[in-house]
Amino acid sequence: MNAPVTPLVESRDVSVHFSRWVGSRRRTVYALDDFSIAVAPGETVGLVGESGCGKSTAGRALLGAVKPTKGQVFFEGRDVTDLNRRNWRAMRKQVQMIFQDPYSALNPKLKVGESIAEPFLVHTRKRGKELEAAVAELLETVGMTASAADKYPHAFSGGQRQRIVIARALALHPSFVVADEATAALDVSIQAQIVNLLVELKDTVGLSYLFISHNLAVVRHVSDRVAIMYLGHLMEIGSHHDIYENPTHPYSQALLSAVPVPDPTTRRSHEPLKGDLPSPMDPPKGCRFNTRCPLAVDQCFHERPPLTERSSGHLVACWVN
Amino acid sequence: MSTTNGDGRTERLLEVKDLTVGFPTRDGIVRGVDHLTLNVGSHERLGVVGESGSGKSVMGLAILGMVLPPGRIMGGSVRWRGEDVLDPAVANRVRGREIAMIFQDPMVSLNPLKTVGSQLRELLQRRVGLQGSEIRQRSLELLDMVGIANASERLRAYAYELSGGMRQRVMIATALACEPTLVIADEPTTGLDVTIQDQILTLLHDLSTELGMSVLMITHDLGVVAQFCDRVQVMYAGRIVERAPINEMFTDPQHPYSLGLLHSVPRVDRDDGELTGIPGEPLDRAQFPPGCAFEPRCNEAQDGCRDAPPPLLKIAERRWVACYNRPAEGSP
Amino acid sequence: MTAVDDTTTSGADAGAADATSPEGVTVMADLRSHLRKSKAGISGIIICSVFALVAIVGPWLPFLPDPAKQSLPDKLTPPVGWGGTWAHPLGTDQLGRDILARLIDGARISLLVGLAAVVIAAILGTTLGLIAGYVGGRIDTLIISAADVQMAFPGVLAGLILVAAFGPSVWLVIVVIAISSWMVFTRVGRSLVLTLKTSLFVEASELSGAPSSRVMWRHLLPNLVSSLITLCVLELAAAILSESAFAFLGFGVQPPRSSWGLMIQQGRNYITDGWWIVTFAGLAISIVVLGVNLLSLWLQSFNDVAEREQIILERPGG
Repeated sequence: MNAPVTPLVESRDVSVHFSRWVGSRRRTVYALDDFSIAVAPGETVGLVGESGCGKSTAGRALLGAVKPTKGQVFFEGRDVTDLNRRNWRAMRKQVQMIFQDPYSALNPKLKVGESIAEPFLVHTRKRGKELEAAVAELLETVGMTASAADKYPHAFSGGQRQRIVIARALALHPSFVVADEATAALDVSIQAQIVNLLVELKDTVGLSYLFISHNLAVVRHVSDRVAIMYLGHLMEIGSHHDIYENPTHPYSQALLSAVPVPDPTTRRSHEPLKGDLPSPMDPPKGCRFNTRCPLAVDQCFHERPPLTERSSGHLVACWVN
Repeated sequence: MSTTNGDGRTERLLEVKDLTVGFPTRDGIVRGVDHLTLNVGSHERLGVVGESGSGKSVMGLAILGMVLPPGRIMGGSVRWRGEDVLDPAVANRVRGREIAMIFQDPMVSLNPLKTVGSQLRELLQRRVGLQGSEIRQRSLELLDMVGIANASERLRAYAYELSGGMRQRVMIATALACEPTLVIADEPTTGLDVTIQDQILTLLHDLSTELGMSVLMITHDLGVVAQFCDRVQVMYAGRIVERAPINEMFTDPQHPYSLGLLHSVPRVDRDDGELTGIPGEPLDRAQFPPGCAFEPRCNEAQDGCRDAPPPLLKIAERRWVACYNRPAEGSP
Repeated sequence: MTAVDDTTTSGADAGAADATSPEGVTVMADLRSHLRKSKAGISGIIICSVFALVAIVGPWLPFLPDPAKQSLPDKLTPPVGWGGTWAHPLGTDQLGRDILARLIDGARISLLVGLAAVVIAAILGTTLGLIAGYVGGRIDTLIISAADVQMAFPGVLAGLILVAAFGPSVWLVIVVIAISSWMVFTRVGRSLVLTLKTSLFVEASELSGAPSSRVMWRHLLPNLVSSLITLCVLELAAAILSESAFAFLGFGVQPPRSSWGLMIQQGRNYITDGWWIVTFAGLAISIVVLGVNLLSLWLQSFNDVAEREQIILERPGG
């Protein structure tokens, strides 16, 4: 969307390639290619795709946790791609991340309070009673009692740990949070609690999210705009309505129809998408979806389709549709 | 014991009654599955839904008399066409032949050191008694049946060379090798990508129709249940809390837990209002209260709920609920 | 769904106790109350403190004969119970020296060498391992190559060179043992760090802008401790034995002073006529290693926070 306001975070043609040893050979993994996205203040952008589509890499690139091979990242209009260490640390206060696995996201040897206090110790002069009060306030913000600070993570369930992880992410009042599969590891009844918490915090704390998920239903529930990725390429991006009511890319259509709807009266008879996901080490030429696309024509195998605007803010990368 | 139910059309294959599985802990014996009752008829797809710790996977194994030590079956009966499956001799005959299992992670169930072909060969020799060229013939047929292209090449592949979806297909092929009457599928698509999950579920659905197999689908995903099953049972803390035909469960859930679950999942096909979720956290097995296990999270809980677990009672035709606030059929 | 037998109540109590988990209790208090519940910990502490005490006050014990005093007429006197007298409770060696006195004297050298060498090796090795694993790249290659070279280089040879340069001394032995075992800590530490550093909590800390030193010190090191404690115990036993090798070659402790290792080395030749020389020295080493082992078991269980809380909260006798 070409919003008149300066986007909070923006990436322009960001590519991330890294090399990995496979047996005795060094192979390049094309994790992300020419990825451009903008998140406006107060907006939630959903980023959807299957494994290996580069959505986590994209999130980390926006946070500056992964250096782009090519392209630029802007934060509040400023190029932050090559920040030096001091400036980078200053930006750290503004951007945070919530992780998928709340079990691995908390250090088992630190009390919960110590984990939450870390951002304060690194960035502020808060110590002692003042620090304790700040930690207690954060715990209450995410619906926990202040006494949780004195316990170790093992005393808590997955949902409670995720609340603690969220509390730590909120410590320095960030404006942009990347939630990377933040609810994927949780049971459905707990997933609903965490989704509600994230939505609520968006308004009370004033956050913008990049909401990365493979779960299209959760993304529909939380997002203002949605981007769909496949093997490192952005296939389609548009408003919530564009993507869910008028999906245009054949991949978006296939992905949406593959989700089992929790309603037996809407059993849909559809042909499942054929084939497996190709490896990001050996992506197909042209459109990356061409090996599985039911509509693929000759051009799709030679030339990468550019993202073109179909209606205001609705961009699709497809030669056919 | 009758082997046909009321309408006489379908045969009762599996009858589980009051099955209880206990795990010794330092706080005494804790029941992972508690007085569980379940029936699977022929040509039926029954779903068992529950969250982590609900005991649904323990149940799946216990039905075949398999409980990981130190757990053990403490009571109840499991009958397969009238025979007692908890008797090891019967279990050995039935397991893998008449009842097959499909697990979540095929990487664990497939032997990493053997090719797909040699695993199928072993199975077909030992269990089915095929010989010589019949084996290869049947192996190719099985792989073909589960939609694996260039099957003869795949026979030479090792598990790690296959993608997750492909492995699950091989796993299904091994389950089908003995032409089972019932397949117990424990989270068969969890961890797979959506489009691959779609392929596997469609495959299982088509196969069960074509081959006339019954499926016991154990899952946490209400979407999978709604799209796949005919009937569903909801489990919470080791017990069945509700049993209903699929449409009734989704249009008119009765147990407060089922209701809560349905209001916890967002839908991809329409914008829904706020997700209400279920307050609180699922209980640790060791902390199950003496009364209804859902009582601490239930918004309809009353004093009476804390005394003893509510029994699973029939509230209408084919509908059973374990809740003190839902009157049984015939009671005022 | 309830626990079946009557111990249900203790489960409920554990839950209740958890809710009122002691707030603001210091680690030392936790350590003490945890120790009281751990038989291994108590036994370990007792064994280790007895040996440490004896080693420290040994020279001032009034009833002990001079460990260096030879008396050839009394040579190879058996211990009490095997025909010996209370003059030499554990018998005498091939030169008629009192075994008990020499054991106590030797404890100082053996324990000092063992502990000092392990502490130096552990600190040096772990620090290098942490840096190699966490920083990676060229620094990693450098450190790990150094460890490989050290691994291939015989410790005795290093000892010979140093003795040739500086002359024999106990401190030299400590240094030689330490530099021939640091790489064990480096290798183990590094491999643990390599898996740990992909943990999300490490990424979270980095994302919040924490400096590398903080990540290593606060997040990585505490998660290495329990593996490293085990390693320390193994290395301690090895170090006590290494010391004997150096003593045997004449690099370390100089006669007439003794060490347990030296006693074993010298007693070997008399094993048929005087089995007690090697036996008591060997026993001393075994008991110390056992004591340290028990201590490490307890420290490991204390290091596991889940287990620690469970043990502290358990009611005595429950």
